[in-house]
Amino acid sequence: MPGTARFLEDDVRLARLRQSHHDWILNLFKGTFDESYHKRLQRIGHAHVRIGLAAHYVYAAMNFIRERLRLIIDDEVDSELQANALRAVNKILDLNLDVIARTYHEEELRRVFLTSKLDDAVIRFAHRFTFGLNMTLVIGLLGLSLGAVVMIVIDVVSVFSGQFEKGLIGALGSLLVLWLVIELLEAEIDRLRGGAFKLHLFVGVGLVALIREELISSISHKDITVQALYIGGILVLGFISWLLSRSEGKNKVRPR
Amino acid sequence: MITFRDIKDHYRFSEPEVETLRHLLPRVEPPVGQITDDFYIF
Ligand code: HEM
Repeated sequence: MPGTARFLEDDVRLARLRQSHHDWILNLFKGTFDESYHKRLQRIGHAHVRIGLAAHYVYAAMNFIRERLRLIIDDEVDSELQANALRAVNKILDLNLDVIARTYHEEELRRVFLTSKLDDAVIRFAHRFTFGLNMTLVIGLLGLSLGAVVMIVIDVVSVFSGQFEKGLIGALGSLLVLWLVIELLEAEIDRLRGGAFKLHLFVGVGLVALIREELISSISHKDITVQALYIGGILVLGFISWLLSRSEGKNKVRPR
Repeated sequence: MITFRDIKDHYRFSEPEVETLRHLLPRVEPPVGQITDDFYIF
């Protein structure tokens, strides 16, 4: 049998194996079927599970041995005693297979139980971990919104302290940031309640940051190439944001 | 937990059958070497 070849390569092992299997057959006929015989059968099962021999080969081997013992009974036992002999041999072989096969089932159950327990623990941990991350995100967004409010206050203060143009445009940019943070917070709360992830908002963050930079750089008369870069970035991100909000809008299920 | 006695009872494995097996030992012993040899090549 091809699946068993790897167990039979080593000569020393094969000799030991022959002896084990030889003794096992003879013990079928020695008449001592007590608890220690039971324990020995369980050990046999565990030995095969341990080496990784598929249960299938044990069943096939048992069938082979059953057939060989039947032939011996046919040849060696008086015909009127053959039925009894065959019944007794079949019973002891089935008993053996019962106990050996059970060790296989128990081992399989143990493995399934172990992996399902491990799966549960990993999933529980992942749940708690993502919950923690989400809470960090919400707290971070709350902090950001407070920061945006502080920025607006600073901009308004600079309007009243003589820097009218800079303060006004800065306040405009800060309002834009605040609006975006509010959108992000709402989207995150919505997602925590089971809503979909809104990718276009994250592109919006970049977009708003660039718009604000552009507003400030236009009044502080920065280099024209820097301004051109900001405008280019705004156009690219604006286009991506538009594409994303279109596709997210399309994916929404519309009520009929 | 199922004991070996339970298993034997479920198969109705009786003392006369144990005796039958004992009587078979002298017939099985000589060819058993051949069986174990063939066991690895079947
Ligand atoms: C009717 C089915 C079988 C029975 C009753 C049986 C019986 C046994 C016994 C009594 C042992 C000694 C266990 C111990 O160390 O206590 C053993 C070991 C072993 N059997 Fe089987 N066997 C069966 C089928 C097979 C098959 C099909 C193979 C495949 C080639 C196989 C390969 C082995 C190996 C490799 C060991 C040695 C394990 C070790 O190194 O510890 N057996 N078997």
